[in-house]
Amino acid sequence: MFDLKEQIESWKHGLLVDKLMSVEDVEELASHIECTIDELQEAGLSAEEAFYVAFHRMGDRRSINAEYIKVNPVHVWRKRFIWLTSGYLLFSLVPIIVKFFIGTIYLFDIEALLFQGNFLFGEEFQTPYPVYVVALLILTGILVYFTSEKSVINKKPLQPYLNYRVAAFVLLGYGVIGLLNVGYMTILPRITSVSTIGNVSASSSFFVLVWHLFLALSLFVMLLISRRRHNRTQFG
Amino acid sequence: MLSKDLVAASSRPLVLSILSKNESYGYEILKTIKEQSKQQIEWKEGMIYPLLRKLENEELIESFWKTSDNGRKRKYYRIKKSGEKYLEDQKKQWELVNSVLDQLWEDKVCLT
Repeated sequence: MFDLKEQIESWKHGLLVDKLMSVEDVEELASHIECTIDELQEAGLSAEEAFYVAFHRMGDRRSINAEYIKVNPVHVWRKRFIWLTSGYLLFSLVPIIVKFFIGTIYLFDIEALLFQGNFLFGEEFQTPYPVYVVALLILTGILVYFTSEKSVINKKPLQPYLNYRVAAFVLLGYGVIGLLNVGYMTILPRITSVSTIGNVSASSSFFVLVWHLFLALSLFVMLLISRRRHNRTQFG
Repeated sequence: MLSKDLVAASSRPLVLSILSKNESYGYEILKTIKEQSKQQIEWKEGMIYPLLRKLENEELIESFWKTSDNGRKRKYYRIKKSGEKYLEDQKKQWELVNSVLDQLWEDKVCLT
């Protein structure tokens, strides 16, 4: 059974997902669609027919977005910054987490418990580049799959996770893991017999922590601004 | 049917001229253009709203939400003083182009 209201809501949701238009913009387009549907129904079309004709007349999502990009360039650049920063933070997370786990294994001597010896690290705490590369390749594969046209067909499954609440969580997560990493890198050389710890040091971990916190904070602020603009509305 | 370029060039004066007579909303503006041009000028419906937004950003028009008789909320637009001035300027330019073309085409007729 064709539900006109539901169809319009779903169409509105599709436009909002792209975040190139504000709620107000989408409401205005929806009001136009409703006017067209009324007129077509008066002319004798069914609700379903009227909806599809009105939808066709309005133009597809891409062409509507393309026009709104021209009038909202700042909005578009903000969106690009948000995606770029999110991607950078996501990829940076791999070495941070790997370092965190390796630090934990080293600190609590889990390696000795599991493998009865220095199986993983030998005599030195080395940066595990092969692990980084494998983890980054897996992450790239996942992202390519989720963002490819074939798998999602414009559904953009990652978009809902790009909001200021998640950014706040990321900020907190980076803070905690980053501080632990700095702690490990300060403590490890002092409490273990290892004098060299590869190119991992407390100062480099601290610098990485500050840099990522700064980026995560910028992302949080941008998403907050974006949300306010997005929801800016004069109606209702 | 008008060419794409001419539609784009005439879009601003058309919208501003309609709004200079009365406040209106997107759907009604499109309908007026279609009727006045005897179906010769037809815009892709979704394209008028970015244009209205652009005119609003340039402070030539302003918008407000109003509830219509059937209880639906609609975004209406009205022209501002700066918009009227802009329209006056546009009128002069279009009249100039129109008169030049008229003369040229009349001359051509005379020659033949």
